[in-house]
Amino acid sequence: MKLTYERKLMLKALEDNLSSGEEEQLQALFKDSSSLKREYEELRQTHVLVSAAREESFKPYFAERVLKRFNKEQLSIFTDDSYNYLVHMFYRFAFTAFIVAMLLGSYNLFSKQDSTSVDQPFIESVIALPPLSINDASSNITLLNNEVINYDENAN
Amino acid sequence: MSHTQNPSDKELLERIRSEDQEAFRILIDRYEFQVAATVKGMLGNRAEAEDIGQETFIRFIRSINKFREESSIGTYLTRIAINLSLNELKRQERQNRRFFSVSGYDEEEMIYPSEEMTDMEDMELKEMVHKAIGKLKPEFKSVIVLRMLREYSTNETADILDIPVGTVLSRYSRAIDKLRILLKPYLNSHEINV
Repeated sequence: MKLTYERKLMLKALEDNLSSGEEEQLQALFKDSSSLKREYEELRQTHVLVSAAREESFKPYFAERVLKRFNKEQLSIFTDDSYNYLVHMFYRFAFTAFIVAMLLGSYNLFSKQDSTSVDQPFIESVIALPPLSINDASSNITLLNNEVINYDENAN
Repeated sequence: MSHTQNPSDKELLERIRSEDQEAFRILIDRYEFQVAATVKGMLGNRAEAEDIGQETFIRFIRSINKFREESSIGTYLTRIAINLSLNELKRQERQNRRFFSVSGYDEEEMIYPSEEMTDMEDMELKEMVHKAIGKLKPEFKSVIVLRMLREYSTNETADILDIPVGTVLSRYSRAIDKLRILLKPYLNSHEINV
C-alpha cells in the first residue's frame, strides 16, 4: 500500500518527528480539511491509548523462575547428552558389526562354492559350518558309543 | 572477586560468560520490563507470555557467545522475544485452524466498554487495548508492539524485524487504522490526557 504524503506527515507527527516546515504543512492541510484533522486526532488518541497499555513486568519472582528453569534444562541437556552419546555409539558399532558380518558371510559363501561340492544350506554356508552328511554323523555317533563302552569296561 | 553494585552491561556479559548466575539474575531484572512489554504486547497477558519471556532469556544465555555486541542487549533480547512470539502465534494459528477452521484476525468489530466501565479503570483499559492488538495479524502486531509499546523508531523497528523501512511504515499505517476502528468507542467517549 502506497502511503499518501498527508498520511506520512501524520505518522511522522505521531512520532514527534516533524521538521518545522512539515509541521506548518500539516497545519495548513488541517485548515483545509476538517476530516483530515479528525482522522489525525483519532490516530493520536489511538497512539496514546495503546502506548499507555504497556505491560512492564511478569508475575513476581520472574528471575527466580527463569534461573530454576535454566538450571533444570542444563541438567536435562546433560542427561540427554549422555543418552544421545550411548545411542550414537550403539549405532556406530552396530553399523560396523553389520558391515563386518556381511563381509565374512560373503567370504564364507563364495570360498565354499569354490572348494566343495557338498550341498549345504545357505545359512550354514554363510556362517561357515563344516559340511556334515548323515553318514558322517552316524559314524561319529558309533565312535562315541564305542568309547563309552570301553570306558565302562575299564571302570568295571 | 568483588563486583560493583550496579554493573554495566559489558561487565554483566563478561560475568555471565564465566557462568556467574548472579549476573544472569541482574540481567533478567534489568531487562524484564522490555521483554514483558514485547511478549505481552504480542501474546496478551496470558500464561504463554510468561513462558515465552522465560525462553527469551534462556535463548539469550545459550547464544551469548554468538552475541557480538553490535546491537544493545535490549535490542538483541527484543529480537529474540519477537521471533519467539511470532512462532508461538503461528503455532496457535495452526492449532485454531485444526480445531475451529477459523482465524481470529482481521475481524473489525468494535470493542465497546462494558456497563461497569464508566470510570475506565486502568486494568480494564489495558485489557481492551490488548484485545484489540490481539485481533491484528502477527506481522502488523509486531510493528505496533515495537513502535507503540516499545517506542522504537521506524528505522529501529525495521532493523529488528529485518524488513524495509517502507514496509514498517505501511504496516504501521494499516495497523493503527485497524486499532482506530476497533477502539473507536473509547476514542470518542473518553478524554485522554496527553
